[in-house]
Amino acid sequence: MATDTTAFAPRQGGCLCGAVRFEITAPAHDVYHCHCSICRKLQGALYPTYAVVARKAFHLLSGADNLGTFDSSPTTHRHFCRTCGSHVWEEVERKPDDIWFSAGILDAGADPGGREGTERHIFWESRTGWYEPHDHLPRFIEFGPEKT
Amino acid sequence: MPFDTLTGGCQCGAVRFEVREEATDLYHCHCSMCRKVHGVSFATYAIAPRPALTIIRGADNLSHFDSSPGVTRNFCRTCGCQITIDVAASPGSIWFMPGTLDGGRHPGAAARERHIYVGSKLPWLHLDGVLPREDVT
Repeated sequence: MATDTTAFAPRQGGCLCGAVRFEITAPAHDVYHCHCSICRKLQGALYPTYAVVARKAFHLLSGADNLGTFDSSPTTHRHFCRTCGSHVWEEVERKPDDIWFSAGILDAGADPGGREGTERHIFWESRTGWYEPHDHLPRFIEFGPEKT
Repeated sequence: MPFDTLTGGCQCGAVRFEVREEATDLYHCHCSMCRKVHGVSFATYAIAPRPALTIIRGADNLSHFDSSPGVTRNFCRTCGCQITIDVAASPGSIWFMPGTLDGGRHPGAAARERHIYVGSKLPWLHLDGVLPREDVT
């Protein structure tokens, strides 16, 4: 089913201290919960949740000069607020037209969109092993099939 | 049974810590403050007796953010990973993030594991129906 972006109400989000703010003007097209040790040890969580949105629909509203950037691999760049530490988004060079943002930091818990048929657990074999989400989402050893 | 010391740290490796006693508490927090300070859908915390947790490397590489008066979040300034929380009202305890433990080890306090602030959870996030839930306000 095609996503009707014309009906999408823009939504904003940001870090806790408020220095870094962004807006998305189209729904995400992929949402996943990542269990790999890199993501766990970057965000201090059991499994961060990322929403992938078209780069042209992601707008940084404030805080560009307050970002720290950490390259978790030579081609993966993670941007976090230097004041409160919140991880806001990442860029992956092999996907230059997309932005990965932290889905849980949209204001008022807004839905990032694009979950239907894409929300899944990835790098499942790297999970901590003691927490069971008890959901019915697909679980993949790596990323699983990409949406086409 | 002797406790096998836990080790953990941030992704860049600048900050390392060890925990020499089993955690005394363990919960998953869904409040918007915790979600936004990590950049996650929910945050998982364990609490240890303060004397049992030592920052063994990188204490001078921590930045500090007061998310509310008396609650100080300590994170690696190089990679942004949250490492510990100091709560002024509980000076004998220190909060740490089980997700940063090496080898995905369990921090302890399994019987205490629960979801808190579920009234603030992401409406779209599926929550397991097994663990106890509290809506602390």
